[in-house]
Amino acid sequence: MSVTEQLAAYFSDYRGEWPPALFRDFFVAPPYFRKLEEKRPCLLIGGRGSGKTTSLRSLRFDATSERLQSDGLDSKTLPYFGVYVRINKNRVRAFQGPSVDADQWDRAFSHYFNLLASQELCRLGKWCESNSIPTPNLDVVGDSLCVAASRDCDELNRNITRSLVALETWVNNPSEQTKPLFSMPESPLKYFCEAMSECGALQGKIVFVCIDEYENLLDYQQARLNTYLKHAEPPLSYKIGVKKNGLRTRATIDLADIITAPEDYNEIDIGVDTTDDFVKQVVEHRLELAKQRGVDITTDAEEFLPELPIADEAEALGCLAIANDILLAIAEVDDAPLLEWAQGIPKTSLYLAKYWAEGEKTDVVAQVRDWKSKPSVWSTRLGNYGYASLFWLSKGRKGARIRKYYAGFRTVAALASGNVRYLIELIDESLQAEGGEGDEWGGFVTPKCQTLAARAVGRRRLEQLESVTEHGASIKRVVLGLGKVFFEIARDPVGRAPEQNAFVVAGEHSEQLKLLELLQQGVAHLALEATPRTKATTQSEMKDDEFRLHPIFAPFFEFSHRKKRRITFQAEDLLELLVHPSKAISKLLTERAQTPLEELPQQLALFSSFYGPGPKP
Amino acid sequence: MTQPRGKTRRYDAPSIADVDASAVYVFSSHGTEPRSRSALWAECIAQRPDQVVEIVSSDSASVTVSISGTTSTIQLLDAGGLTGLFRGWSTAYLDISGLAHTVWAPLVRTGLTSLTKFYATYVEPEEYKRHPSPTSVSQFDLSDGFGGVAPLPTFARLPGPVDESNSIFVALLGFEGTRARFVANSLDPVPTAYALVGLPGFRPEYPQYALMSNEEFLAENKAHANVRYAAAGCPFECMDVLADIHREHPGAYMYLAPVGTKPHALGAILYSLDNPQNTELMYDHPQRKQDRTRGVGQMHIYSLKA
Repeated sequence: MSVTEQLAAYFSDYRGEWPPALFRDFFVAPPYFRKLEEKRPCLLIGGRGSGKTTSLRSLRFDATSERLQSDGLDSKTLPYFGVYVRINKNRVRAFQGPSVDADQWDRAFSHYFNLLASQELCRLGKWCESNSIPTPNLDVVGDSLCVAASRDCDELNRNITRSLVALETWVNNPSEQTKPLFSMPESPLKYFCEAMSECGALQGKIVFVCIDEYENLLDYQQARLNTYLKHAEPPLSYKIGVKKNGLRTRATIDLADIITAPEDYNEIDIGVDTTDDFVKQVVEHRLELAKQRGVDITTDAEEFLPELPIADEAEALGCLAIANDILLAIAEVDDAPLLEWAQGIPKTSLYLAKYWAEGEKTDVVAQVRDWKSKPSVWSTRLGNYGYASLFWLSKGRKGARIRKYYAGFRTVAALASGNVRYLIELIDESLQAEGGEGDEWGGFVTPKCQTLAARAVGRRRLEQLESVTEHGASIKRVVLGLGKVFFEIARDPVGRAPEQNAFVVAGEHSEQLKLLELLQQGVAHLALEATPRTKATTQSEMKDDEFRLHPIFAPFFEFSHRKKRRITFQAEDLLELLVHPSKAISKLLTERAQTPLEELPQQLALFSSFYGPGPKP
Repeated sequence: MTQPRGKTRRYDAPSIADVDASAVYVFSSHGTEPRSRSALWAECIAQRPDQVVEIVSSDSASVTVSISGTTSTIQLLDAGGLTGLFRGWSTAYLDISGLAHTVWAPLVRTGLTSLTKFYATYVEPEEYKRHPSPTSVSQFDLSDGFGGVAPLPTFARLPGPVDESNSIFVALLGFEGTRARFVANSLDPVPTAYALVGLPGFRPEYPQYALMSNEEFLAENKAHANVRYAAAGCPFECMDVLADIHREHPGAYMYLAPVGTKPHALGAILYSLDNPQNTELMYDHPQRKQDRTRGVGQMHIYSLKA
């Protein structure tokens, strides 16, 4: 097995959830973890792959025990007892419809949640039993769940399953079937905690009920569980995982009462609370693990994923030919001192004169003269426009395999934008690209392989957009449209500020609201990122947000992944992407000339039927 | 006419002589697809008007029917109300062609429990509408959007698997490649995935379209080796294949996504009714596009109970 194949084993877990044993090996506590472990209820907000589920699952009793063990501590001395409940959309959506009134559905759902959480508590009880921790008397718990008397956790679990089946029969035919006895909201959970406390298992510790995928709940169901969150008291506390914008209501069952942070709970936004240091730690921890197990590899993330300096990248993208053309042009005007001066400028900088001349629609020799007379202005210009000009270099390089590089640990981390799953996927794909090169591996991922991997991951994520939500098809159309617009802007510097890759929305209020609903969905599913300029508590306030495509798409569409300057788009033009993409893109680009379809990069050419004019009527 | 359970009869242009004269006929009123209402039903309305139940409209929770000129609305979770459509009859034909899954699936359940002889019918379209500006290899334009994953009425399963790691996901594939992936994505992680493709298809090229459109689903879930085939128009062959898959995974809990052909969806519903303990249907509730199909093909008459 090659080194890259051996190493891939440490970076291939993004495809699914970790089996319990991997928690011990791979888990790196994120910066917000201490806050999550506090006794207070907590709302953990993050997109798919942000590490939300990993963090919540790591609070579960078995994962906590594994971590204690790996730290050389007694695995039974848990600081808290966590249980984990995942909300399954296909099941919670059964509790709706006109067959019974809203109050009955609410009571039925509360009972269902009690049963689900109690099943997990039974598993906790069983774990306590096998670890010689006192186990609670379950009589009262069983009574409060309205199930038959149970001697132990196993029997209670079986009785809960029977109760779930009875509830299933009722929800499938509520007008005819006899309604089962419903347990009181939250009551069995409280009784279980009391019983744990009475038997001496808790000893002042807290029981965390971790509820994941909260966005799957219907609004009234969120209001029900919001109520538990608001009124949680020790020894019971709630830790809730939800996608961005997935908490659709802050209401409780008492409509006048809403949940607010920090009064009722701690709010952790993974995107905000995840630092570059943390993602570096995640990578270096795995490299270290691989090294310990015999893989000959650096443990420094920046050595492992080296950067490509701007000058080297400019050279790789063909700036030398442009610089040579500039020197020829100077030679033709017979200005020997200017030629001598220009020859002293590195060719990896000199090409900027041509970039600037194109932007200003002036003669390139005049620009070189200007440079000679105002060196400090051009030095600043190089700093401001050097990176942006790399995208322009790709113009006319039809068929080139790489038209812009995305390399270096900091770039890879920026593309992932705090999303650990993306980060790991980028590295795994890079290793696969290295493996495909066939040459002897140098112990680091080359900029070329990093770039090819970033493009492949961007494409995969783009393809996946359609299937992450019921609005996926519309979101993908918006991403394809915006991606093309930013691709064109990046390549055409004329009259533009460098690196425009964010946008705000203007236009008719009703159109804005319609669009913002879609953009919010895009943010929730990592198609877009939003920077709020006001606290986003209502949809109307969202209109002040600044949006950008998620940077994971930047290598696919070949625009800058760096968060820079913004542009204003009309809501109606963005909405038109859903029906007439070609027309909409023209409008968004204010009718500027676009790259001919046959000159599009290969990866964009795949979507030529989307970008093209469409069939004639 | 004798048609044992599990057998199918096929007609290019069925007439009233091809259906049981003493049966009740349940079908949709004219929809936006030509195949949603067969010429056969017009004959039934003309010659046997008292034996007709016309489904006038439906939404996610209820269905409005017209019987002998009288309309009434029934909740889809009201098994008694649905059974009432078949009351007084021992034989029924249910045409699923123009009906949403949310409507015909609970009717299949009630029909099987209340009738002596029960047939489902399905009319193939001649072709499907293509998308004017496709964003992927899925070239067809069949849905306006999706209601999201939710149980089909009367098919909610609450207990779930005893052991989530001993579960499998089976998608019955159609032309909209995003659908299988969307449903699968609601399970995180996706268990071992299988795909069922209609082969032979309604047209020779259709199986290839289905595979191409679902390439991402197959790749993401490493399911290329787990593709199975059953005739696109045969629910019973679909049931057999599902049983085979289950046999390969003894005791496994099967998540079943009927997002392919309607006959396959019928097979999935029947399989789920036969295996309630370890099968859970997952459906994405598409909003069907107007004029999504063109033309009228063969009619299949499936004997569900005899």
